[in-house]
Amino acid sequence: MTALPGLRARPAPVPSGDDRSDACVIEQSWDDPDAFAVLFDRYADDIHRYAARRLGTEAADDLMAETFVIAFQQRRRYDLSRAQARPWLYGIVTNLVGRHRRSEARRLRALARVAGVSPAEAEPLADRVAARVSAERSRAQLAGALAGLTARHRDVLLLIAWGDLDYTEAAEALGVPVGTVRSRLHRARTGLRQALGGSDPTALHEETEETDRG
Amino acid sequence: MDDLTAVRELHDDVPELTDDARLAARVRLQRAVLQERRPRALSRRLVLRTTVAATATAAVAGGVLLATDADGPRMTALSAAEVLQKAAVRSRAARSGVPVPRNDQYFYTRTFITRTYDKDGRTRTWTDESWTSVDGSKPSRREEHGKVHNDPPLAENEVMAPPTEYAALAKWPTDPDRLLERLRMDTREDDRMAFMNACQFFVVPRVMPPGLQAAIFEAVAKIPGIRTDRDSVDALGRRGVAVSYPKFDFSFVFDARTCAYLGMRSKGSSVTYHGRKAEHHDWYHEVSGRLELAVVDRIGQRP
Repeated sequence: MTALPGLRARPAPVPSGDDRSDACVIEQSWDDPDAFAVLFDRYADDIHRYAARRLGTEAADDLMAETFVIAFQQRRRYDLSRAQARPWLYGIVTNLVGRHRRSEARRLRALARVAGVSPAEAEPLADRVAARVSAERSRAQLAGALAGLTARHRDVLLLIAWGDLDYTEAAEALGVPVGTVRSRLHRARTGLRQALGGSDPTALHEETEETDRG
Repeated sequence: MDDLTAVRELHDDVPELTDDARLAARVRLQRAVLQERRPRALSRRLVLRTTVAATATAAVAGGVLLATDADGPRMTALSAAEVLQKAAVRSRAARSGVPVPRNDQYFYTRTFITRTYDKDGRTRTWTDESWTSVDGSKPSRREEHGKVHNDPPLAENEVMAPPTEYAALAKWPTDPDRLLERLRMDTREDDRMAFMNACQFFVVPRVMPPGLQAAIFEAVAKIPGIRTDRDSVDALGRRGVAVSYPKFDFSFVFDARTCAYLGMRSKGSSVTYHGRKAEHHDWYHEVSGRLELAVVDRIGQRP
Protein backbone atom coordinates (compact mmCIF):
# COMPACT_ATOMS: atom_id res chain seq x y z
CA MET A 1 0.00 0.00 0.00
CA THR A 2 1.35 3.40 -0.93
CA ALA A 3 2.40 5.27 2.19
CA LEU A 4 0.27 8.26 2.97
CA PRO A 5 0.91 10.50 5.93
CA GLY A 6 -1.60 10.08 8.72
CA LEU A 7 -3.56 7.27 7.11
CA ARG A 8 -5.75 5.57 9.70
CA ALA A 9 -5.44 1.89 10.19
CA ARG A 10 -8.36 0.26 8.45
CA PRO A 11 -10.18 -2.55 10.23
CA ALA A 12 -10.03 -5.83 8.37
CA PRO A 13 -13.09 -5.84 6.11
CA VAL A 14 -13.63 -9.57 6.44
CA PRO A 15 -16.16 -10.57 9.11
CA SER A 16 -15.42 -13.53 11.29
CA GLY A 17 -16.19 -16.93 9.88
CA ASP A 18 -15.76 -15.90 6.27
CA ASP A 19 -12.23 -15.34 5.03
CA ARG A 20 -12.85 -15.56 1.29
CA SER A 21 -11.51 -12.68 -0.76
CA ASP A 22 -13.98 -10.27 -2.34
CA ALA A 23 -12.97 -11.55 -5.78
CA CYS A 24 -13.77 -15.07 -4.65
CA VAL A 25 -17.20 -13.99 -3.42
CA ILE A 26 -17.91 -12.16 -6.68
CA GLU A 27 -16.89 -15.16 -8.75
CA GLN A 28 -19.19 -17.36 -6.70
CA SER A 29 -22.02 -14.87 -7.21
CA TRP A 30 -21.77 -15.39 -10.98
CA ASP A 31 -23.53 -18.71 -10.48
CA ASP A 32 -25.12 -18.08 -7.12
CA PRO A 33 -26.41 -14.47 -7.11
CA ASP A 34 -27.39 -14.67 -3.44
CA ALA A 35 -23.72 -14.86 -2.51
CA PHE A 36 -23.35 -11.21 -3.46
CA ALA A 37 -24.99 -10.21 -0.18
CA VAL A 38 -21.65 -10.97 1.51
CA LEU A 39 -20.15 -7.91 -0.20
CA PHE A 40 -23.05 -5.83 1.03
CA ASP A 41 -22.42 -6.93 4.60
CA ARG A 42 -18.73 -6.15 4.27
CA TYR A 43 -18.95 -2.68 2.74
CA ALA A 44 -22.41 -1.15 3.20
CA ASP A 45 -21.27 0.93 6.19
CA ASP A 46 -18.10 2.23 4.52
CA ILE A 47 -19.86 3.19 1.31
CA HIS A 48 -22.70 4.81 3.21
CA ARG A 49 -20.32 6.82 5.34
CA TYR A 50 -18.41 8.08 2.33
CA ALA A 51 -21.61 9.06 0.51
CA ALA A 52 -23.00 10.70 3.65
CA ARG A 53 -19.88 12.84 4.01
CA ARG A 54 -20.22 13.98 0.44
CA LEU A 55 -23.98 14.44 0.12
CA GLY A 56 -25.64 14.06 3.52
CA THR A 57 -27.29 11.08 5.16
CA GLU A 58 -30.54 11.10 3.24
CA ALA A 59 -28.95 11.01 -0.18
CA ALA A 60 -26.44 8.47 1.14
CA ASP A 61 -29.21 6.00 2.04
CA ASP A 62 -30.27 5.98 -1.58
CA LEU A 63 -26.81 6.10 -3.13
CA MET A 64 -25.48 3.25 -1.04
CA ALA A 65 -28.40 1.03 -2.04
CA GLU A 66 -27.97 2.02 -5.69
CA THR A 67 -24.23 1.29 -5.52
CA PHE A 68 -24.80 -2.35 -4.57
CA VAL A 69 -27.52 -2.85 -7.17
CA ILE A 70 -25.21 -1.51 -9.89
CA ALA A 71 -22.28 -3.52 -8.57
CA PHE A 72 -24.43 -6.64 -8.62
CA GLN A 73 -25.56 -6.00 -12.18
CA GLN A 74 -21.98 -5.40 -13.33
CA ARG A 75 -20.38 -8.20 -11.32
CA ARG A 76 -19.53 -10.27 -14.39
CA ARG A 77 -17.27 -7.46 -15.59
CA TYR A 78 -15.31 -7.46 -12.35
CA ASP A 79 -11.58 -8.10 -12.76
CA LEU A 80 -11.08 -11.18 -10.58
CA SER A 81 -7.35 -10.52 -10.28
CA ARG A 82 -8.25 -7.75 -7.83
CA ALA A 83 -8.80 -9.42 -4.49
CA GLN A 84 -10.32 -6.36 -2.83
CA ALA A 85 -13.60 -4.96 -4.14
CA ARG A 86 -13.37 -1.72 -2.15
CA PRO A 87 -11.90 0.42 -4.95
CA TRP A 88 -14.48 -0.90 -7.41
CA LEU A 89 -17.38 -0.03 -5.08
CA TYR A 90 -15.92 3.39 -4.30
CA GLY A 91 -15.63 4.00 -8.03
CA ILE A 92 -19.31 3.22 -8.50
CA VAL A 93 -20.47 5.40 -5.63
CA THR A 94 -18.20 8.25 -6.77
CA ASN A 95 -19.79 8.05 -10.21
CA LEU A 96 -23.20 8.27 -8.57
CA VAL A 97 -22.10 11.26 -6.50
CA GLY A 98 -21.22 12.82 -9.83
CA ARG A 99 -24.91 12.91 -10.67
CA HIS A 100 -25.44 15.11 -7.65
CA ARG A 101 -22.70 17.66 -8.26
CA ARG A 102 -25.05 20.55 -7.82
CA SER A 103 -26.34 19.43 -4.47
CA GLU A 104 -22.81 18.66 -3.32
CA ALA A 105 -21.72 22.17 -4.25
CA ARG A 106 -24.78 23.56 -2.50
CA ARG A 107 -23.99 21.60 0.64
CA LEU A 108 -20.40 22.81 0.71
CA ARG A 109 -21.44 26.40 0.06
CA ALA A 110 -23.93 26.27 2.89
CA LEU A 111 -21.13 25.16 5.17
CA ALA A 112 -18.87 27.87 3.78
CA ARG A 113 -21.39 30.56 4.65
CA VAL A 114 -20.56 30.21 8.35
CA ALA A 115 -17.28 31.89 7.45
CA GLY A 116 -19.19 35.11 6.98
CA VAL A 117 -19.10 35.77 10.76
CA SER A 118 -16.64 38.60 11.35
CA PRO A 119 -13.87 38.29 13.97
CA ALA A 120 -15.26 41.36 15.81
CA GLU A 121 -18.48 39.50 16.58
CA ALA A 122 -16.52 36.64 18.04
CA GLU A 123 -14.42 38.76 20.39
CA PRO A 124 -16.78 39.32 23.34
CA LEU A 125 -17.44 35.62 23.60
CA ALA A 126 -15.70 33.42 26.11
CA ASP A 127 -12.43 31.91 24.94
CA ARG A 128 -13.87 28.46 24.60
CA VAL A 129 -16.71 29.69 22.44
CA ALA A 130 -14.32 31.82 20.45
CA ALA A 131 -12.18 28.77 19.85
CA ARG A 132 -15.20 26.87 18.65
CA VAL A 133 -16.22 29.70 16.38
CA SER A 134 -12.71 29.79 14.99
CA ALA A 135 -12.75 26.04 14.42
CA GLU A 136 -16.06 26.36 12.68
CA ARG A 137 -14.68 29.14 10.58
CA SER A 138 -11.76 27.08 9.39
CA ARG A 139 -14.06 24.18 8.64
CA ALA A 140 -16.24 26.55 6.68
CA GLN A 141 -13.23 27.86 4.78
CA LEU A 142 -12.24 24.33 4.00
CA ALA A 143 -15.72 23.52 2.71
CA GLY A 144 -15.55 26.61 0.54
CA ALA A 145 -12.20 25.53 -0.79
CA LEU A 146 -13.54 22.04 -1.60
CA ALA A 147 -16.48 23.56 -3.43
CA GLY A 148 -13.98 25.52 -5.50
CA LEU A 149 -12.10 22.45 -6.72
CA THR A 150 -12.94 20.87 -10.05
CA ALA A 151 -14.98 17.68 -9.85
CA ARG A 152 -12.04 15.54 -10.94
CA HIS A 153 -9.71 16.96 -8.35
CA ARG A 154 -12.29 16.74 -5.60
CA ASP A 155 -13.07 13.09 -6.42
CA VAL A 156 -9.45 12.08 -6.10
CA LEU A 157 -8.91 14.09 -2.93
CA LEU A 158 -12.01 12.77 -1.17
CA LEU A 159 -11.54 9.16 -2.26
CA ILE A 160 -8.19 9.34 -0.50
CA ALA A 161 -9.17 11.49 2.48
CA TRP A 162 -12.66 10.13 3.17
CA GLY A 163 -12.62 6.76 1.41
CA ASP A 164 -9.21 5.82 2.89
CA LEU A 165 -8.06 4.58 -0.52
CA ASP A 166 -4.37 4.66 -1.42
CA TYR A 167 -3.13 5.96 -4.79
CA THR A 168 -3.37 2.60 -6.53
CA GLU A 169 -6.85 1.97 -5.20
CA ALA A 170 -8.02 5.46 -6.15
CA ALA A 171 -6.66 4.85 -9.65
CA GLU A 172 -8.61 1.57 -9.83
CA ALA A 173 -11.74 3.27 -8.56
CA LEU A 174 -11.63 6.04 -11.13
CA GLY A 175 -10.22 3.98 -13.97
CA VAL A 176 -7.24 6.27 -14.50
CA PRO A 177 -3.44 5.68 -14.25
CA VAL A 178 -1.77 6.10 -10.86
CA GLY A 179 0.24 9.02 -12.23
CA THR A 180 -2.99 10.86 -12.98
CA VAL A 181 -4.16 10.30 -9.42
CA ARG A 182 -0.91 11.72 -8.09
CA SER A 183 -1.06 14.81 -10.25
CA ARG A 184 -4.73 15.44 -9.56
CA LEU A 185 -4.18 15.05 -5.83
CA HIS A 186 -1.24 17.42 -6.03
CA ARG A 187 -3.32 20.03 -7.83
CA ALA A 188 -6.25 19.56 -5.49
CA ARG A 189 -4.03 20.14 -2.48
CA THR A 190 -2.40 23.16 -4.09
CA GLY A 191 -5.86 24.51 -4.80
CA LEU A 192 -6.87 23.94 -1.18
CA ARG A 193 -3.79 25.65 0.21
CA GLN A 194 -4.31 28.63 -2.06
CA ALA A 195 -7.92 28.94 -1.03
CA LEU A 196 -7.07 28.63 2.65
CA GLY A 197 -3.99 30.82 2.54
CA GLY A 198 -5.53 34.26 2.30
CA SER A 199 -7.81 34.79 -0.65
CA ASP A 200 -11.51 35.06 0.20
CA PRO A 201 -12.73 31.47 0.55
CA THR A 202 -16.35 32.41 0.08
CA ALA A 203 -15.72 33.61 -3.45
CA LEU A 204 -16.41 30.28 -5.04
CA HIS A 205 -15.81 29.13 -8.53
CA GLU A 206 -18.79 27.87 -10.43
CA GLU A 207 -18.65 24.28 -11.49
CA THR A 208 -18.16 24.42 -15.22
CA GLU A 209 -15.85 21.58 -15.98
CA GLU A 210 -17.30 18.46 -17.52
CA THR A 211 -16.34 15.25 -15.87
CA ASP A 212 -14.28 12.91 -18.00
CA ARG A 213 -14.73 9.72 -16.07
CA GLY A 214 -16.74 6.86 -17.32
CA MET B 1 -2.67 21.88 10.23
CA ASP B 2 -1.82 19.80 7.18
CA ASP B 3 -4.48 20.38 4.53
CA LEU B 4 -5.11 16.66 3.94
CA THR B 5 -5.56 16.04 7.66
CA ALA B 6 -7.98 18.96 7.80
CA VAL B 7 -10.03 17.45 4.98
CA ARG B 8 -10.03 14.08 6.75
CA GLU B 9 -11.52 15.66 9.82
CA LEU B 10 -14.20 17.53 7.90
CA HIS B 11 -17.67 15.88 8.22
CA ASP B 12 -16.09 13.26 10.42
CA ASP B 13 -19.24 13.18 12.52
CA VAL B 14 -21.82 11.94 9.99
CA PRO B 15 -24.48 9.71 11.58
CA GLU B 16 -24.10 5.98 11.14
CA LEU B 17 -26.15 3.93 8.72
CA THR B 18 -29.53 3.28 10.36
CA ASP B 19 -31.04 -0.21 10.55
CA ASP B 20 -33.98 0.92 8.43
CA ALA B 21 -31.76 2.23 5.66
CA ARG B 22 -29.62 -0.90 5.79
CA LEU B 23 -32.69 -3.12 5.44
CA ALA B 24 -34.13 -0.99 2.64
CA ALA B 25 -30.84 -1.20 0.74
CA ARG B 26 -30.66 -4.96 1.25
CA VAL B 27 -34.19 -5.32 -0.09
CA ARG B 28 -33.23 -3.36 -3.20
CA LEU B 29 -30.23 -5.61 -3.75
CA GLN B 30 -32.35 -8.71 -3.23
CA ARG B 31 -34.86 -7.40 -5.76
CA ALA B 32 -32.11 -7.02 -8.32
CA VAL B 33 -31.05 -10.61 -7.58
CA LEU B 34 -34.59 -11.88 -8.13
CA GLN B 35 -35.11 -9.86 -11.28
CA GLU B 36 -32.12 -11.61 -12.76
CA ARG B 37 -33.58 -14.98 -11.85
CA ARG B 38 -36.89 -14.37 -13.59
CA PRO B 39 -37.41 -16.94 -16.32
CA ARG B 40 -38.41 -14.06 -18.59
CA ALA B 41 -34.74 -13.27 -18.79
CA LEU B 42 -34.11 -16.70 -20.27
CA SER B 43 -34.80 -17.55 -23.86
CA ARG B 44 -38.18 -19.05 -24.69
CA ARG B 45 -36.66 -22.25 -25.87
CA LEU B 46 -34.66 -22.70 -22.71
CA VAL B 47 -37.76 -22.20 -20.59
CA LEU B 48 -39.68 -24.69 -22.69
CA ARG B 49 -36.93 -27.25 -22.42
CA THR B 50 -36.66 -26.92 -18.64
CA THR B 51 -40.41 -27.20 -18.37
CA VAL B 52 -40.42 -30.46 -20.27
CA ALA B 53 -37.56 -31.76 -18.17
CA ALA B 54 -39.31 -30.73 -14.98
CA THR B 55 -42.53 -32.41 -16.03
CA ALA B 56 -40.65 -35.62 -16.66
CA THR B 57 -39.03 -35.38 -13.25
CA ALA B 58 -42.36 -34.69 -11.63
CA ALA B 59 -43.75 -37.88 -13.10
CA VAL B 60 -40.91 -39.83 -11.55
CA ALA B 61 -40.57 -38.08 -8.20
CA GLY B 62 -44.26 -37.51 -7.66
CA GLY B 63 -43.60 -34.68 -5.22
CA VAL B 64 -42.45 -31.99 -7.61
CA LEU B 65 -45.17 -29.85 -9.08
CA LEU B 66 -45.23 -27.36 -11.88
CA ALA B 67 -46.83 -24.06 -10.98
CA THR B 68 -48.07 -21.65 -13.59
CA ASP B 69 -49.05 -18.05 -13.21
CA ALA B 70 -49.56 -14.98 -15.36
CA ASP B 71 -45.86 -14.52 -15.91
CA GLY B 72 -45.39 -17.84 -17.59
CA PRO B 73 -44.29 -21.28 -16.52
CA ARG B 74 -42.61 -21.44 -13.18
CA MET B 75 -41.02 -24.42 -11.50
CA THR B 76 -41.66 -24.81 -7.84
CA ALA B 77 -40.02 -27.41 -5.75
CA LEU B 78 -43.00 -27.42 -3.39
CA SER B 79 -46.67 -26.75 -3.98
CA ALA B 80 -48.44 -24.04 -2.01
CA ALA B 81 -49.97 -26.67 0.26
CA GLU B 82 -46.59 -28.28 0.88
CA VAL B 83 -45.04 -24.91 1.76
CA LEU B 84 -47.83 -24.30 4.27
CA GLN B 85 -47.49 -27.75 5.80
CA LYS B 86 -43.77 -27.26 6.25
CA ALA B 87 -44.46 -23.82 7.76
CA ALA B 88 -46.88 -25.45 10.20
CA VAL B 89 -44.26 -27.96 11.29
CA ARG B 90 -41.75 -25.16 11.84
CA SER B 91 -44.29 -23.05 13.68
CA ARG B 92 -45.01 -25.88 16.11
CA ALA B 93 -41.30 -26.39 16.75
CA ALA B 94 -40.58 -22.67 17.23
CA ARG B 95 -43.55 -22.02 19.51
CA SER B 96 -42.09 -23.91 22.46
CA GLY B 97 -39.90 -20.93 23.33
CA VAL B 98 -42.70 -18.37 23.85
CA PRO B 99 -44.17 -18.36 27.37
CA VAL B 100 -47.91 -18.40 28.04
CA PRO B 101 -48.74 -14.77 28.84
CA ARG B 102 -50.57 -13.52 31.95
CA ASN B 103 -53.70 -11.45 31.45
CA ASP B 104 -52.10 -8.27 32.81
CA GLN B 105 -49.22 -8.42 30.33
CA TYR B 106 -48.73 -7.12 26.78
CA PHE B 107 -47.67 -8.64 23.50
CA TYR B 108 -44.83 -6.72 22.02
CA THR B 109 -44.26 -6.82 18.26
CA ARG B 110 -41.76 -5.05 16.06
CA THR B 111 -42.44 -5.14 12.33
CA PHE B 112 -40.48 -3.77 9.42
CA ILE B 113 -42.45 -2.58 6.40
CA THR B 114 -41.22 -1.71 2.92
CA ARG B 115 -43.57 -0.07 0.46
CA THR B 116 -42.61 0.21 -3.20
CA TYR B 117 -44.62 2.44 -5.51
CA ASP B 118 -45.40 0.86 -8.86
CA LYS B 119 -44.97 4.05 -10.85
CA ASP B 120 -41.40 5.02 -10.09
CA GLY B 121 -40.02 2.29 -7.83
CA ARG B 122 -39.71 4.76 -4.95
CA THR B 123 -39.61 3.02 -1.57
CA ARG B 124 -40.70 4.00 1.90
CA THR B 125 -39.99 2.06 5.05
CA TRP B 126 -41.35 1.95 8.57
CA THR B 127 -40.47 0.10 11.74
CA ASP B 128 -43.69 -0.31 13.70
CA GLU B 129 -43.80 -1.26 17.37
CA SER B 130 -47.00 -2.30 19.09
CA TRP B 131 -48.05 -3.30 22.61
CA THR B 132 -51.31 -5.23 22.76
CA SER B 133 -53.08 -5.96 26.04
CA VAL B 134 -53.20 -9.75 26.50
CA ASP B 135 -56.82 -9.89 27.72
CA GLY B 136 -57.91 -6.69 26.01
CA SER B 137 -58.90 -5.11 29.33
CA LYS B 138 -56.33 -2.32 29.13
CA PRO B 139 -55.56 0.22 26.39
CA SER B 140 -53.17 -0.97 23.70
CA ARG B 141 -50.67 1.01 21.69
CA ARG B 142 -50.61 0.13 18.02
CA GLU B 143 -48.24 1.67 15.48
CA GLU B 144 -49.23 1.56 11.84
CA HIS B 145 -46.92 3.01 9.20
CA GLY B 146 -45.27 5.16 11.84
CA LYS B 147 -48.56 6.50 13.20
CA VAL B 148 -49.32 5.60 16.81
CA HIS B 149 -52.89 4.65 17.73
CA ASN B 150 -53.88 4.36 21.37
CA ASP B 151 -56.67 1.81 21.22
CA PRO B 152 -59.06 1.85 24.21
CA PRO B 153 -60.20 -1.52 25.60
CA LEU B 154 -63.12 -3.03 23.72
CA ALA B 155 -66.54 -2.02 25.04
CA GLU B 156 -68.94 -4.75 26.11
CA ASN B 157 -70.82 -4.78 22.83
CA GLU B 158 -67.65 -4.71 20.71
CA VAL B 159 -65.74 -7.68 19.38
CA MET B 160 -62.59 -8.15 17.31
CA ALA B 161 -62.83 -10.70 14.54
CA PRO B 162 -60.68 -12.65 14.71
CA PRO B 163 -59.95 -11.81 18.36
CA THR B 164 -56.66 -10.50 19.71
CA GLU B 165 -57.25 -11.64 23.30
CA TYR B 166 -55.21 -14.66 24.18
CA ALA B 167 -57.98 -16.39 26.12
CA ALA B 168 -60.44 -15.98 23.23
CA LEU B 169 -57.87 -17.30 20.76
CA ALA B 170 -57.24 -20.28 23.02
CA LYS B 171 -60.83 -21.38 22.35
CA TRP B 172 -60.30 -21.56 18.60
CA PRO B 173 -59.97 -25.06 17.19
CA THR B 174 -56.45 -26.26 16.37
CA ASP B 175 -57.74 -29.02 14.14
CA PRO B 176 -57.27 -27.72 10.58
CA ASP B 177 -60.61 -29.00 9.26
CA ARG B 178 -62.65 -27.49 12.08
CA LEU B 179 -60.61 -24.30 11.91
CA LEU B 180 -61.23 -23.98 8.17
CA GLU B 181 -64.98 -24.30 8.81
CA ARG B 182 -64.72 -21.46 11.28
CA LEU B 183 -62.63 -19.30 8.92
CA ARG B 184 -65.22 -19.81 6.17
CA MET B 185 -67.86 -18.16 8.36
CA ASP B 186 -70.65 -20.01 6.52
CA THR B 187 -69.69 -18.65 3.11
CA ARG B 188 -69.95 -21.37 0.50
CA GLU B 189 -69.38 -19.97 -3.00
CA ASP B 190 -65.57 -19.72 -2.74
CA ASP B 191 -62.90 -19.62 -0.06
CA ARG B 192 -61.92 -15.99 -0.34
CA MET B 193 -63.48 -15.28 3.05
CA ALA B 194 -61.53 -18.12 4.66
CA PHE B 195 -58.26 -16.93 3.13
CA MET B 196 -58.95 -13.35 4.16
CA ASN B 197 -59.71 -14.35 7.75
CA ALA B 198 -56.51 -16.36 7.88
CA CYS B 199 -54.57 -13.27 6.74
CA GLN B 200 -56.29 -11.16 9.40
CA PHE B 201 -54.53 -13.13 12.12
CA PHE B 202 -51.21 -11.82 10.86
CA VAL B 203 -52.05 -8.32 9.67
CA VAL B 204 -52.87 -7.08 13.17
CA PRO B 205 -50.19 -8.34 15.57
CA ARG B 206 -51.17 -10.90 18.19
CA VAL B 207 -49.60 -13.82 20.00
CA MET B 208 -51.30 -17.09 19.26
CA PRO B 209 -51.74 -19.99 21.67
CA PRO B 210 -49.68 -23.10 20.90
CA GLY B 211 -50.77 -24.82 17.73
CA LEU B 212 -53.12 -22.14 16.44
CA GLN B 213 -50.67 -20.56 14.00
CA ALA B 214 -49.70 -23.99 12.71
CA ALA B 215 -53.37 -24.93 12.38
CA ILE B 216 -54.05 -21.77 10.38
CA PHE B 217 -51.31 -22.70 7.91
CA GLU B 218 -52.70 -26.23 7.64
CA ALA B 219 -56.23 -24.89 7.13
CA VAL B 220 -55.08 -22.56 4.36
CA ALA B 221 -53.27 -25.52 2.79
CA LYS B 222 -56.69 -27.13 2.31
CA ILE B 223 -58.10 -24.17 0.39
CA PRO B 224 -58.42 -25.00 -3.32
CA GLY B 225 -56.86 -22.47 -5.68
CA ILE B 226 -54.01 -21.25 -3.47
CA ARG B 227 -50.78 -20.79 -5.37
CA THR B 228 -47.15 -19.84 -4.91
CA ASP B 229 -44.96 -17.09 -6.21
CA ARG B 230 -41.33 -18.03 -5.83
CA ASP B 231 -40.01 -14.58 -6.70
CA SER B 232 -40.98 -13.01 -3.45
CA VAL B 233 -38.84 -11.01 -1.09
CA ASP B 234 -39.89 -10.18 2.42
CA ALA B 235 -39.42 -6.76 3.99
CA LEU B 236 -36.02 -7.72 5.33
CA GLY B 237 -34.76 -8.80 1.93
CA ARG B 238 -34.94 -12.49 2.74
CA ARG B 239 -35.80 -14.67 -0.24
CA GLY B 240 -39.27 -15.95 0.22
CA VAL B 241 -42.07 -17.82 -1.40
CA ALA B 242 -45.48 -16.15 -1.28
CA VAL B 243 -48.72 -18.09 -0.93
CA SER B 244 -51.67 -16.23 -2.38
CA TYR B 245 -55.31 -16.64 -3.37
CA PRO B 246 -56.49 -15.50 -6.83
CA LYS B 247 -57.52 -11.85 -7.00
CA PHE B 248 -56.83 -11.24 -3.35
CA ASP B 249 -54.41 -8.47 -2.35
CA PHE B 250 -52.79 -10.12 0.66
CA SER B 251 -50.45 -13.09 0.68
CA PHE B 252 -48.27 -14.94 3.16
CA VAL B 253 -44.50 -14.93 2.74
CA PHE B 254 -42.43 -17.91 3.89
CA ASP B 255 -38.70 -18.48 3.83
CA ALA B 256 -37.80 -20.04 0.48
CA ARG B 257 -35.55 -22.66 2.07
CA THR B 258 -36.92 -23.39 5.53
CA CYS B 259 -40.58 -22.38 4.95
CA ALA B 260 -40.57 -20.44 8.25
CA TYR B 261 -43.20 -17.70 8.33
CA LEU B 262 -41.60 -14.35 7.43
CA GLY B 263 -44.39 -11.83 6.97
CA MET B 264 -47.15 -10.56 4.73
CA ARG B 265 -47.22 -9.05 1.28
CA SER B 266 -49.98 -6.78 0.02
CA LYS B 267 -51.03 -4.48 -2.77
CA GLY B 268 -52.71 -1.13 -2.20
CA SER B 269 -53.28 2.42 -3.38
CA SER B 270 -54.20 5.88 -2.24
CA VAL B 271 -57.84 6.77 -2.68
CA THR B 272 -59.37 10.14 -3.48
CA TYR B 273 -63.13 10.52 -3.32
CA HIS B 274 -64.99 12.54 -5.94
CA GLY B 275 -68.39 12.65 -4.35
CA ARG B 276 -69.17 8.96 -4.03
CA LYS B 277 -66.77 7.85 -6.71
CA ALA B 278 -63.43 6.58 -5.47
CA GLU B 279 -60.35 7.14 -7.57
CA HIS B 280 -57.39 4.85 -6.92
CA HIS B 281 -53.93 6.18 -7.59
CA ASP B 282 -50.32 5.68 -6.47
CA TRP B 283 -50.52 1.90 -6.47
CA TYR B 284 -47.89 0.21 -4.37
CA HIS B 285 -46.71 -3.19 -3.20
CA GLU B 286 -45.90 -3.62 0.41
CA VAL B 287 -44.11 -6.31 2.38
CA SER B 288 -43.91 -6.58 6.11
CA GLY B 289 -41.51 -8.70 8.12
CA ARG B 290 -41.75 -9.53 11.77
CA LEU B 291 -38.57 -8.60 13.62
CA GLU B 292 -39.68 -9.46 17.11
CA LEU B 293 -42.56 -10.94 19.07
CA ALA B 294 -42.47 -11.16 22.85
CA VAL B 295 -44.44 -10.84 26.07
CA VAL B 296 -43.68 -7.79 28.26
CA ASP B 297 -45.16 -6.25 31.42
CA ARG B 298 -46.06 -2.75 30.33
CA ILE B 299 -46.45 -0.45 27.34
CA GLY B 300 -43.11 0.99 26.27
CA GLN B 301 -41.09 -1.95 27.60
CA ARG B 302 -38.95 -3.80 25.11
CA PRO B 303 -37.73 -7.36 25.50
